Amino acid sequence: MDLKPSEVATVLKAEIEGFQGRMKKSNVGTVLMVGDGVARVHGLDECMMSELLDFGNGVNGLALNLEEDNVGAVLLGSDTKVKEGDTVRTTGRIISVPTGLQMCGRVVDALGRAVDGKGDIKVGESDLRPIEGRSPTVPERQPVKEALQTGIKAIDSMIPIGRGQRELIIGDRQTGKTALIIDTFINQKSTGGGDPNNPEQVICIYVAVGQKQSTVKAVVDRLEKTGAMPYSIVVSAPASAEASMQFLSCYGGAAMGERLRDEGRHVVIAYDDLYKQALAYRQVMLLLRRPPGREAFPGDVFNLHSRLLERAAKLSKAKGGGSLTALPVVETQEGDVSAYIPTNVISITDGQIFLESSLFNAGQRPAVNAGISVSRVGGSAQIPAMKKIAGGLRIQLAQFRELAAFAQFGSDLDKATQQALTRGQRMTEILKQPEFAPVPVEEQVVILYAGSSGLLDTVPLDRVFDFEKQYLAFVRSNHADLFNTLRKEKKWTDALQKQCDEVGGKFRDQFLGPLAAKAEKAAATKSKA
Amino acid sequence: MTLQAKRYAQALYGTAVAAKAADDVLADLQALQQAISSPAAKDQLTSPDVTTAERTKALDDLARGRHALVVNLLGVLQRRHRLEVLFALYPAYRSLLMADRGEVDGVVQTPFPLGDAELKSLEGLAGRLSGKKVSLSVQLRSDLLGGVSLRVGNELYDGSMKSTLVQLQQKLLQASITR
Repeated sequence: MDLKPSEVATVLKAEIEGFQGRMKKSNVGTVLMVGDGVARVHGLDECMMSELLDFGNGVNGLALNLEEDNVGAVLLGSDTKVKEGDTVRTTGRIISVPTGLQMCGRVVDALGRAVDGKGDIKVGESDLRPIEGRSPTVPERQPVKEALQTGIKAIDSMIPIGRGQRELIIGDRQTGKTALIIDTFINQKSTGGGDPNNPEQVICIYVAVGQKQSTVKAVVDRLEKTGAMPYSIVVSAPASAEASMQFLSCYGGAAMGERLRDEGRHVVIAYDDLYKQALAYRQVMLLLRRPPGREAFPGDVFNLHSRLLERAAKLSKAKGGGSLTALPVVETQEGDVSAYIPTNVISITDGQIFLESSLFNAGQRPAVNAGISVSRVGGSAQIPAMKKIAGGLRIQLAQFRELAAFAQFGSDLDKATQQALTRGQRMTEILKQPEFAPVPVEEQVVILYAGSSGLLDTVPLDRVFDFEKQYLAFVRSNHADLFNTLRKEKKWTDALQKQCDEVGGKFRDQFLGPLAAKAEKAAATKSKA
Repeated sequence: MTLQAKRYAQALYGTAVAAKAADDVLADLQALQQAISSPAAKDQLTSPDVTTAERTKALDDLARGRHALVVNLLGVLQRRHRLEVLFALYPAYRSLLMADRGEVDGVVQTPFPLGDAELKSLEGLAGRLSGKKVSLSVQLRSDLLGGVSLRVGNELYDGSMKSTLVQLQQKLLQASITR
């Protein structure tokens, strides 16, 4: 936007001339005690629950406990600026955050203030939205039916995520939870070319709760390097922020997503992570002397997460058809998924992706445990081609794992078992994927078909990765029509299958070349002996 | 004002009204408040280093010449180990008395001293706004720049220049430059 200083001056002049100062009436109270980020205020007899309070000196607070003779409030800023005896005013408002497309590409704090050093974000009064919103009612929703492609083969094929779904990502530390989210964000570039103004572009919101600043910085850097930042918003409430900011940041992020969802856009929001959010909430509630429950969490810790995740929805056509997909993250300790917060969030969400340290350390990355990961939305969130190809993949892999465990005891295996093992090993190999390299869905279909149809059975295990890479590059350059048809029609036809078989066979012969001849010779010698 | 102080004040006020001694008790409580305001007097009543005998003597000194109800109250507080309630009792008792009589305290904050006539008219205004009889006290605050800010009970009517400038600042920050 091109601005002339004279225009600005004219606008300001008009504002000053037309300004009428009004005497402000407000309900006031006096600070009784302040410390550890909470304050008790006497007075404020008209204060409402969750109302924003003005403590002066630019410090605000949030009324959380309305008691007989005082109000317990959590401070949204430094408590060193507030002292006993200070006057506190009610504001008649609840906390609002700026929303809209102008937030894209920015890193903001829990209240939507820019913290990336790129200047203030220009927002009008109408862009402000309360952080606590009403979740859409039943008639305002429709079933989840469109796919949200993560670009991760193991997820898109077996645990598909739909737009408007809530899929939990759960695992110990260092199992690739954040990497999975970043991959998903990077992959959204294909939806609208990375232009946030394109209505097809899926907008991504990353809410970092209680993370190290260095981790947030690394995420932002990665998003910038991969070109995913222009359509992403990062809400940062790092470990150094006040506990109040940490638990409110999720709601702030959700409000930003909701605004776009209500405008008919598709949004994916990741809360990284809800366990830390619950810890921050527990801290505030214990300081406000709410009775502690299990693991010292307050009684409403379930509602803390359920009301947040209920805001994820696929809206009906009448409401614009927008969607808000939630990807909450919960970090477990030593793989214990039966702890309080993990079980709560598992029961709220529409499925979960389990990431396991043992798989991660064994080189299976992403370390998705396909056996216990589920998506309750299922095949309706897949394109028909993927549904057809990957439909039996979960069962096939489960059988393979059973056989593999069984085969460890015996040496002589019949041919059918050997073949099942060979194929299972290759499928497992195909599902491995390097970090930050999402694969488009049409390419996923082609390589998964190659694996499940037995094309890779003769490819040595250690060459499967190379095979996949070269095969996809080969199809991309020589048979682009195959990918184009899949991308456009999204269906798996007999003609496509035939073409895949032909192209795949041709490439395998070319890839294996001398190796294949050698293997055949060895097989012949063995049979002679 | 603590919850305990409120409860004790309510009980004391009820008995004082029945004995038609509400004002006498108020005066005694005010005198008590002044007597115990020094840190040394506070220690005497609450410090664990003070022996029971010493504390009883201090309380006897405090109770001398007071209304019988106040003397009884001191005895009850000592027996129940609630002497800290004394520190917040006077404001709690006073607010009950004032509420009962339809009176309320008010504070005028102003950057310049007010004349009697101005104070009187402000008292009248405060009375109309709150519907109660208001006794105003004046606080000088130079940072308000101009105008007055009037606090009646828990209501604040801010007509100061400072608040007007803050409003103007917010308005200018939100002014749309693209209209």
